[in-house]
Amino acid sequence: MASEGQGGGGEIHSGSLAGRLGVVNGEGAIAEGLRAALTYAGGQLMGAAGVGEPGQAYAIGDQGRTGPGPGVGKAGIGPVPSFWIEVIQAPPSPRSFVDLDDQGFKTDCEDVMWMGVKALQASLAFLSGTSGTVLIVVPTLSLAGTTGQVAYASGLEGLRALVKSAARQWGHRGVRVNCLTLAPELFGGGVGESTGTSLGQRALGGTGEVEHDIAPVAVFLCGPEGHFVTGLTLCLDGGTWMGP
Amino acid sequence: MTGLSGRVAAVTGAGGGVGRGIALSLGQAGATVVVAARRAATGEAVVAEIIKNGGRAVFVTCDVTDKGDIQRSVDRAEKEFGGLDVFIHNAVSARSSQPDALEEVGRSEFEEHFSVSVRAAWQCAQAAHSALARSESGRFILLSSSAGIEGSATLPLYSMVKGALRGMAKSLAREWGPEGITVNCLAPVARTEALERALVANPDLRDRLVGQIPLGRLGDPEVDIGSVARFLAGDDSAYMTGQTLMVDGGSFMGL
Repeated sequence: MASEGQGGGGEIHSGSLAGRLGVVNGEGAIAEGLRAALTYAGGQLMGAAGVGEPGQAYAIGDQGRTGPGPGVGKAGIGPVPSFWIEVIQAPPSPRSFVDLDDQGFKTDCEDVMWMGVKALQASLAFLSGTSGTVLIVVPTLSLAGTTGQVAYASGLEGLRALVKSAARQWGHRGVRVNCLTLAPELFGGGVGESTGTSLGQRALGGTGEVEHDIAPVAVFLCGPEGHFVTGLTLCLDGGTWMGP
Repeated sequence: MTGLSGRVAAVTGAGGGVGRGIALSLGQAGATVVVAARRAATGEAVVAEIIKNGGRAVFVTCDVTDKGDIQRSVDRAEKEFGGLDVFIHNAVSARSSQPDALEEVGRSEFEEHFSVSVRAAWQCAQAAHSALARSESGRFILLSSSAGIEGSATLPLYSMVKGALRGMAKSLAREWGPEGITVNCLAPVARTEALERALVANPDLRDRLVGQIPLGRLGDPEVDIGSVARFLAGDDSAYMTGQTLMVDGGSFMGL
């Protein structure tokens, strides 16, 4: 999967995730692109492992989760649970903060944050007994703020803080937790319609392509080379947001 | 000292701790203060203190998880004092200093943090927006924390909601900027009643906590934190919005 994308892009080495079992939760182009790239890199996804379809075996809900099943990931039996990627879905179209009704605020903010809690809990259960990496994938909206999606941006910034807390709390277990922030346009829905951010010209041009520009970083973080990286927000937006 | 004469300010969670310190400081600077607090005993005491110092204040019963209470706080300011210029959402969950293992938290713990900090902030924004827009110097101020920026090994839910408030401030600052309303966060480290109780229970904590503060002491809610809130509420901060001011003796220097 050598890149032909704009500006060059990265190259994923086949086999760099060999022996690693993971989950990519989420729908849409980002999740699909990551699944393809991680599989190419040798990672075995839950769906591909026959345990369940991605996003189903560990569907998010209030009822808790079950483990990956007897035998999965045990030494000598199969690939080891090693990574969990959660792509946070987009909310509806932009709307004024003060005009949101209760349900709108719940959907745009509360559900995003609660979903993050549940995803992190599920990831720890999945990685139980092994070291591994958790990636939460969100749009860059909250970094510089945005009009029209204040509730969603609030939830996203809450998630970024939660990722750092999880990284601090779980580091001694060998579990690394990081956040990838991508160009809003990649998420579809109403996310890319936001206006009013200070994010100006993209230094590298374009929003980036998932398989060529985003996935190599995900593979790096999920593989052995990313073993000392945790609590980080990596902004993969082509050099638009450059804040502290 | 920044003068706030003629300004009307509402402060949630103003019955104690940082909220009390902010309310006293605003009152000292000449603002009329709506002391919004759950308990009358503490809220009325703060009002009495402001009045004793020559200021003007009223108490409003306000549980911030009840949007009716929030609305009544704003209505009281408008009806009794003719408007509202500053709204400070300071209230925080009683669980805020209780450690949690992230893998064990359930919906009830999440709700306790979220309802008081984030949902209440949204409802404060809804209730106060029109009045702040009519003011010539509308200020909406949220209390955050360094935990909302760098995370916390022991307080994951607290860090999450404090991070969310920063996200809210940045985005709302953009949305309300055209109306002349500034939105900022204040992230304090201060000596409060709750912290003192924790320090009594765990004396080693004081040394560890203070040891991380370059200025070598915990902040005073009125003198150290209130003065910065006064700055944010006043004219000197008119061109500042979407920011987080760390008022922590230098504990966090990551920005």
